[in-house]
Amino acid sequence: MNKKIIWIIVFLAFVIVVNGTCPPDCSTKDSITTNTYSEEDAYSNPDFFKNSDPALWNWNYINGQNWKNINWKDAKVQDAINTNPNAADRYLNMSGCGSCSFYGYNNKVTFSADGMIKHQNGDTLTAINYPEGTIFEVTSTGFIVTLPHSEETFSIPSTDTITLDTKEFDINLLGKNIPPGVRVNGKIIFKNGNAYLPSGQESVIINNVMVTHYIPGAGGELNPPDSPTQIFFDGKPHNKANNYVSLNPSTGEMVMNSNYEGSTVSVTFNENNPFIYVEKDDIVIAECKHNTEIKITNNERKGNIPSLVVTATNSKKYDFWIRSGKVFIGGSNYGITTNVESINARSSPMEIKIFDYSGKSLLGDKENPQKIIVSNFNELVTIPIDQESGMTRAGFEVSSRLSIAYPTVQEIAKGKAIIIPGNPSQKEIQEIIALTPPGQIVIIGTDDPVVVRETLTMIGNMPPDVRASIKGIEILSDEEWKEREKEVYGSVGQTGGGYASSNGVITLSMSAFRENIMKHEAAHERVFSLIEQDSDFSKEWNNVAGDVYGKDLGEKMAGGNKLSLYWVDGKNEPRNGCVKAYGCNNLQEDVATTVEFIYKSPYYFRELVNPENSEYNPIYREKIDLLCSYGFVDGNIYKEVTGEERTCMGDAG
Amino acid sequence: MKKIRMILFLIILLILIKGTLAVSHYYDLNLVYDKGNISYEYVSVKILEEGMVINNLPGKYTAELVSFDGNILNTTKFRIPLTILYDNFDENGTIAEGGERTLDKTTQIVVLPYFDNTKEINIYDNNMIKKLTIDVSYYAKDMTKTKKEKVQETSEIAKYSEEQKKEKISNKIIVLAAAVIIAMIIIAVIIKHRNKK
Repeated sequence: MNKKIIWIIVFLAFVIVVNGTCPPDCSTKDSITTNTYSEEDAYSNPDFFKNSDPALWNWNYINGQNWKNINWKDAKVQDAINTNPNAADRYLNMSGCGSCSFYGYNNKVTFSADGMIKHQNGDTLTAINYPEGTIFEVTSTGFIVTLPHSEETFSIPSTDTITLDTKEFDINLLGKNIPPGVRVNGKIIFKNGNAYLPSGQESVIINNVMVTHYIPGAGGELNPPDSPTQIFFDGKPHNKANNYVSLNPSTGEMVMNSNYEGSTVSVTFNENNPFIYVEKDDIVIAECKHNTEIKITNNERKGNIPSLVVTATNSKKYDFWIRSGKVFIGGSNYGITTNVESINARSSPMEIKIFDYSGKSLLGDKENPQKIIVSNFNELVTIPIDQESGMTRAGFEVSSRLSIAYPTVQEIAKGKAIIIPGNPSQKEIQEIIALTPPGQIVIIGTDDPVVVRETLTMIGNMPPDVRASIKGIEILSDEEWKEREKEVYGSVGQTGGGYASSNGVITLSMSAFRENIMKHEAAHERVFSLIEQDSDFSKEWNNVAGDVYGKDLGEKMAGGNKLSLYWVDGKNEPRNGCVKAYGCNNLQEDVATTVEFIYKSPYYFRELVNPENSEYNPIYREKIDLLCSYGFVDGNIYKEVTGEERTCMGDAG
Repeated sequence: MKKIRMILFLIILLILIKGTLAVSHYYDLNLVYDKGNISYEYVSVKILEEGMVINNLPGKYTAELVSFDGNILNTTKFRIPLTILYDNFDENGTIAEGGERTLDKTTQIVVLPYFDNTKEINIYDNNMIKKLTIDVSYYAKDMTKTKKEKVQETSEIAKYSEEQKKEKISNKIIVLAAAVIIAMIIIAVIIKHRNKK
């Protein structure tokens, strides 16, 4: 009995063993059944790999021993990995990239025994070069590699061609020709160790500098160019025939170049970049449109502000622009333009030199080459190229020296203003204003050096009699403005605004802190002063303006003493001798809108006083004459608009 | 040596006298305008801080300081602001709303130079019609004991000013003392140097 049982057990064991291994004739396809694929031992037989269908393989049984038995040239093997996520993941794992994943199976790629993956377009990557948890995505244009968030550094493989997508995280780059401290955020192509901004993409952030390239579309939209822009990390110039940006965060040097006509390479400097010191709310952008190279150097070690050297790389055509806050500097073969715009932006100090193809300065002339210095306070001075500093019209020094570039609020205000930060009571404001020496003003609500300096510059640029009408400037945050508006008018309207009170104080919200608005409110103050002095100004102005106030105006804004914004037909062009419908509400707004208009749009006002223009009305000329006589405008703007020399009230000489 | 000491003493004395005399004062007058009528909330005397001057925004109203013997010591033009013009702007800096508000009631601080013989302050409107007379005799230098009490009642700010004045003088004394010590050291060094010669 016992012997029989033993024999049965032996027989059963034999059957199990025989069924569990590849049949002896594993060398034929027929000998491999469906069950064979689920038997791990089958995968240790080299014949299994020759005769089985890779599509049915259990990839979990692929290991270091049987890896060499796989016929990598077999299209079925390639298909299997391309179509089976488990197969692909196992492949990556076996190739040295543990817990890595693969996506994008519609784009066939070729897998090699050595872990190299080849895209149809010829791009290759080697799995072992990437850290655990990397995600590989295959697109029609190539490989997109996403590193796990735990990864802070990435060694650029010198053999691979990939697009690294940092998914909005900063990744430190390591590799040949990469200085320490290079960090990227966004998508960037690496091809055989070289970096490019992908042609199908607009921008990448490198050490807090956003590098963008685009071509303007027919409808004005921005499209990435067809050719990629190369990124270097040495901060040195490269082949001018290509579009490139070369940044070296270690030395603080950068060169950008655009050659391809119609395409643009642009850099936007964010806070904590190593090239140009940028503070919150600063806007700093440099853009090479074509045939231009801009070299940027952080000169902090030399005790100087950053320098930007622009060079036209073509004798006929070049195009670039630089913005630092409100200051705009543009250049093309048509010439160099500079402007301080009436926008909400803060600047960063920089020195700018501009040269043509032959090395001749495009600022100044051959005998007296010049350069531009932009201050931290939206100011711009043009001075001889070998000079260190210059003065603004408002009497502030603008310098290449860092020690002068960032003065304290006390240094800025000295002899010019009394600063009362915080939220003083109206009584305190009235008292301090009544005690402030002539020639000085009181700045209330802020001790921000930028706001204080800009305020003093705006005031300093005004004609003396307008300046003298202003005793104080109160600056409110937009939140404070809303509260004040509710308190004073009982309602909240726009987010920003300003008001002029007959006490000589102009109140502005931060979002309305602009030169044209300051000029508008200052004109109100000048009118208040003239009224208080029993001047004939109002009488004379009314005689010139005629009986126009309130005529042809559209609906008034809701509320008590509110004013009309448009003409009755909904338009707002100059009419009835008023530059805007708003001006035809009353004398005060007529004067203020006219002064604002003259300074903001002198070319347009020139047309209004030109008898040959369809919008001509002699009233405009009479008005600017009167504004000149009463010191609202100075001789410079008068000449710009009328073409005639005249000494206005308050003009020197 | 005696001559040097004498000169030093005179210099110190002059500086001390100058420091004490340099403190000047002003009237801080808080007027109340109510539909054409003018009254006042308070008047006090304060120290005019260094670098500050009396510089009211000129206007149609006049303040007149009159002495005990009826002389006009000073007239100052000032303004009572009643109009506010407001303009709201959109994000492009273009006017999006505007209006005007005229106040029928307001308060206005007026500062006037202090004279120690001022009896009263008269306020006139733009037609030079007297609108208000304020007795400030209690701030005159020869004020009586009862007037002193009145000062205490009416002006807490004046007390504060006195404290400020004391603090200012004590600061000056400290600076002067330091200057004297330094000067003495320098003189001692010079004398020692001469004696060696």
